[in-house]
Formats: sequence, structure tokens, C-alpha cells
Amino acid sequence: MSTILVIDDNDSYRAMLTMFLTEKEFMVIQADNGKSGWKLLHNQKPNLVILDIVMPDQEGIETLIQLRKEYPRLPVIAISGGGKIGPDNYLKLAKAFGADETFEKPVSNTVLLSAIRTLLEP
Amino acid sequence: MSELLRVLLVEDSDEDAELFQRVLQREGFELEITRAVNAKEFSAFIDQKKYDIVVSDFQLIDTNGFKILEIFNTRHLDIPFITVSGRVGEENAVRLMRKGARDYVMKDQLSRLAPVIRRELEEYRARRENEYFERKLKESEAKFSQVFRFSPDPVVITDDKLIIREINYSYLAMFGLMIDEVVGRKIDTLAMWEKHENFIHYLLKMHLGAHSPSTECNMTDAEGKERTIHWSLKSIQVNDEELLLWNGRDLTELKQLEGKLQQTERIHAIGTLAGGIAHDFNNILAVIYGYAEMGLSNSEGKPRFHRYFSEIIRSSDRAKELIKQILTFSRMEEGKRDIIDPAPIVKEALKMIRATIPSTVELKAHIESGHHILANISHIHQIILNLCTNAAYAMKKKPGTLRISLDSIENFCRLQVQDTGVGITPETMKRIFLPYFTTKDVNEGTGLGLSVVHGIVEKYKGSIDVASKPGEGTCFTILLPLSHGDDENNITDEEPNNTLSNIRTDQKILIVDDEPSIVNYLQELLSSSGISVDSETKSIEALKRFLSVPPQTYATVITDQSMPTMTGTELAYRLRKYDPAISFIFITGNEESIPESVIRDLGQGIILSKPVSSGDLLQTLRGFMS
Repeated sequence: MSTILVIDDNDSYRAMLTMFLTEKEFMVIQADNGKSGWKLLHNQKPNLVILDIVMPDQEGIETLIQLRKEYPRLPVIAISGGGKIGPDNYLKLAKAFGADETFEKPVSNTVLLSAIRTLLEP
Repeated sequence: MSELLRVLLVEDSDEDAELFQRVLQREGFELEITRAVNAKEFSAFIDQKKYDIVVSDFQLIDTNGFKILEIFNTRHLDIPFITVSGRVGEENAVRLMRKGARDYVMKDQLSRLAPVIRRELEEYRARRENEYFERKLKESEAKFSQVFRFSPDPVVITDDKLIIREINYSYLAMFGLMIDEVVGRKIDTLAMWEKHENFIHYLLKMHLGAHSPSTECNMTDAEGKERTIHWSLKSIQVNDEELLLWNGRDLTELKQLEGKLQQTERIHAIGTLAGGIAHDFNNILAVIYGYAEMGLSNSEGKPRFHRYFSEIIRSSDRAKELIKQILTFSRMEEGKRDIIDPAPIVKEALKMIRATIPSTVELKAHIESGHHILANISHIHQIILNLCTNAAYAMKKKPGTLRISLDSIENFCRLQVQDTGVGITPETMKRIFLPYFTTKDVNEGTGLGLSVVHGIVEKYKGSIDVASKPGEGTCFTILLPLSHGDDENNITDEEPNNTLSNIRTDQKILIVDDEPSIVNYLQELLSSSGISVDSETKSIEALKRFLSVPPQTYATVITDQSMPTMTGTELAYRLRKYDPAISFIFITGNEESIPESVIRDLGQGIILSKPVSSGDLLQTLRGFMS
């Protein structure tokens, strides 16, 4: 069973995603900020990370840069609800810093699921 | 203190002349005496120069004081004339005085002479002063009467019974009146006041209550235009009579500007707000969307639930679109602007419009090619779509014609969208550009269409004009500056301080970072701002590259600080040896790893902490290059 780490400061979204992914038989671990996400990453070695880019203090991008340095091959999906500088910009940034896939929120679970499956293919 | 006295002395006796001189010198006068011994000399000397006083002997050999005075009077001089004599009768003295002599001094009373002269000089001075003030007063009166007459404000003066005494040109011109038909009438019988009787009485009442009242009044001018005039009422005292000064100030234009400004401000405020909430909104929507999807996939065999969840998803989709539109509106989406011919875009948009508008609407288009503007294609598309959608909506109840034209006028590209629909009432007209204002039914309009158009036009430094008659139709005219393509190739449309349009393009920027993804990102960011960029992932390679090109190829080097083999600052020291003008941007996760002294040493250098925002980076570059 693959483990997915969801890092998002929005509790409801995390809960929804966890429920959905659990239903699809993934093991889900969650963090509501970059720092605790980083710890889980070290301790539990997930197979894939879903990372919200706009969190307080722009931790998303920071986390992504750090993550790419230490785990160059770990699949990362960046998601974002957009904001001041526009959804495109955050996600472009995430792409530039090595996210494998990027999605604007709200993203359909089905779309997300197919991206997860593709990235986890051996 | 001696005073210089210029005297024209008429005296035929040398002895008396000397005596005269002595007496006055003793009294402290410094004298400049011109002496005439007869009438002929007097007439000559009096015209030669300026004198302070004329002193004449009465009894002369060939003439007398009367004759001299007569000559003096023909010159219309204003200086004192004094007669001196041994003997002259009372009668002669009176005659002399009548004819204009200022005084008469007996030779045996010469001690009187000095005081008389002093008094006369004093009076002379006073006379001159009076004349001066009188002249000034006249000038000032003329000036004030001009100010009154030509004041741009309409001004009326009435007495306390409201009878018009004076009225100025502005007033007459504004309301199309002739001066003769106005002066002498009561102010409230003038046509423009007819509707505002209460206003006059309000002002008067306030005035009697010791206030200086002032208030606005909407009046119809000679051309039938509504004007907002701010009237104030004051008492003025003229020749012991109390009059009323009615001073108007035309605020019409000011009000219009104020309205425009308020509208722009509101649009900006709402835009900022919208940008702020869009993020939260999308997050909430993501949750709703996600659960609905799960619900949908779990409702197989339960058609009712299937329908419910489908509805939720459909609504969420709509909400998502709406948020997108709000965001577009709040920042007009960062779009690249190029010099384009809007004609093909307009034609393309018209195809789409033809497909969506009812067949009862006839579409007539006159599209001229070749009027190039600096614009973003999707913005132009949006303008056309929004205007045409509104136009079609205005004609949904009855058949009509939608006319679209594209041409140019002076330095502008002109786009006109005209319908024969219901028109816009004046009341609605005031609000059409406000975000979220709509006359459409719920679910039919977002109230953002015209705001978006307005925003785009404003951004392009163009103008938008609406002409409408209720029941007849509406015509929107948009003017966008024509582009001649000299210096403005591309303008990226981000925040203004993020644009690099003023950066010299003949110099490049070198990026050095051992992280390829960062290099890629920076490269994309800068090249999209129109800067040519080279990059290296190894500091040694960067150094090699630098040495292989002529000096000043690069304006700035952006380098990571912590790199293996050679740090950013080590690299900088070496590069600077070859090009002292180069500037550096050090990107570091730990600011303290670069001492301030190093930056000082390097001259042009700035440290940016990771993660570096694109805005900071561009702004720093701009700072270096401007």
C-alpha cells in the first residue's frame, strides 16, 4: 500500500482528501504546515507528497525546495487555491522548483487520482 | 538736518536777494537759488527745471507780482507761489491770494518767511499724497469692478428686498440673460430660480440667523444642461447701504471628476478584496467539490442522490468560473501585451457572438484592418464579448440591430458597439461600470462585464464613452492608443514595479546556481521580462564563460552563495577584477554567511534571502539598472 503525505493548512480540505484517498486504499498521513510535514517526511518516508503551495509564510515553496534537495526523485503534486499573485504564478513557481504535477484548486478528485496513479507507476 | 530747497527767486535788487538767501540759510535751508530779474527771465527759467517753490518780489522795475503770477499760472504747476514785498496794500494782497499765490510776506517781517515756506512745502506734500491715494482708489475700484464683472463665478448683488443691483458676465452667460432685463428685478423671478424658491428662502433664513450660508443647487443653464452650483450669501456694506452678495461656484465639472474618481477607487478596492478572498474561496470550493465527487461515485443505483451530487458539482464549477472572472477583474490577469491588429480578434469574437445571440438580432460589422495597438489578445476578446453580450441582452425583447465597427480616429483605434435596445436610464448610467452592478436577472449576469471592460481600457490608457437613450439604444465607444511600434515591443503586464521594460537590453544577466531547477526558474522569469540571460550551474564554468566574452557583456550576475568549489562571493571577487562595473545579487539561505564588509568591498552588491520572490528580484535588478 502506498503512503501519501498531504501538507495543507486547510483542515477541511485535508480531511476530505484523506477520506477520498483512504477510500482508494492509500495510506494517508497529514501535516498542516511545512515544518511538521518535513518531520513526517523523514520519519515515515511517504511514496508521494501532495503539497499546498500557499500556506502562511510561503512555506509551500520553501518546503518544495528543501524536499527536492534531499529527495530528488520523490513524486510531488503541488496544489494551490491561488491568491494575490494569481494561481498560475504559484504553480509555475512550483513547477520551476521541481513539482511533478500542479493543480489549481478546486481540482477534481478523479483528476488528482489519475495523476497520483501515473506518478506512482513503477 | 538741512533740506535742499530749489527756489526760483524773482528779485531785481541784489541786496534783497542776498538778504533772502541769508535769512533762509540761517533757518537751516540748503538753497539752490535760480534768480530771475524780470518777467522775461522768469518765463524762461520756470520751464528750465523743477523747483520746490517760487518766491517773487511784488514791486519789480518793469513789472509786478501780478504779471509774474499770471505767467506762473499758465504753467499749471502745483508748487507754492509766495510774494514778498516792502509795501503792498491789503487789496493787492487779497487779489494775489485769489489768483493763486499761497501767501504774502512783508520785507520787514522776513522772519516769517521760513515758517511760511515750511508750511507751504508741508501742504504741498500732503496735496500730492492725497492725489496719489485718490488715483490708487480709482484704480482699485476699476480693478474690483473688473474682478466682479469678469469673475468666472456667477455673482449677483441685490438689496435686502432681493432686487438685483448688479450682475456679472458669468451669470448672464451661464443662464443666457441680457443685463437690461435683469437689473431691477427680484432675483427669485429669474427663470433659473423659479424651481428653487425654497432654496433662496433657506439661504436668507440662514443669513438672518447670522450664519454665512452656502449650499449646492442643481440648476438648468441656458443650454438646458444641469449644473451643480454652490451658492453662498454674504452681506456687504456699500455707501452705508447693506447689500447681499450672491456668489455662485460652478461645481459641475468637479462633481463629474469626483464621481469618476470614486468609481475608480471603488473598483480598485473591490478588486483588492476579491483577490484576497479568492484564495479562501477556492479552498472551500475544493472541499465541497471533493465531497460531492465522492458522493457522486457512491450513489450508483440511487439516481436521486446522483442528481443531487451532480448539481453540487455543476454549481461548484460555476463558482470556480466566477472566481476566475473576479480574479481576472481584480488584476486583469498578468498578460503579455504585443503590438497587434485587433481586426482579426474582433472578427473571431463576432463569429462566437453570432452563434450565441438570438436570431432576431441582426449583426452588422464594419471592421477595418491595420490599426495596430499594444494589447493582449484575450483582453480585446473580452471587451468585444462583454459589450456585445450586453448589447444583445438589451435587444432580447424585440428585434434589433447590433452594429460593430472598428476604425481609427486621430491617434486612437476606435471600437464601437451599438445596439437598438432598451437603452440605459440616467440613473443606471451612473452605476454601469461598478463591479457587481447588474440589471440582468439573478444567474444571468455577474455584474463584472463592464467593470472588466472599464479596467482594461483604463489600463491601456484609453477611454470609454457611452451614449444612450432609453428606448432607442446604446452606443459604447472605446478608444485605445494606436501603437507605432517604435520603442514598445513588449510590455509584460505584471505589477508595475515588476516590469523591466526600462532595462537596457544590450546587456545580459548571468545566473549561477548549482540547483538546475532554480536556474530554470530564474531564467524563465527573466527572459519573460525581456532580458537575455545566460546561466551556469558551476561557478568555475561561470568564471570561464565570463572570461571568454568582452567586458560589459553582463550587467549583473545573480549567484547562489553556497556552491561547491567556489562560493558566490569568491566568484564575485574574481569577476570584478575583469569588469569593475558589474553588479551582483547574492541569493542565500543564510544572510549571515556574507559579511557586510564583503558587499561594501564589491561595490554593487545586494543579498536576497531564500526563497526569493520574483518581485524582489526584478525590483533589485531594476534598481541596479536604472
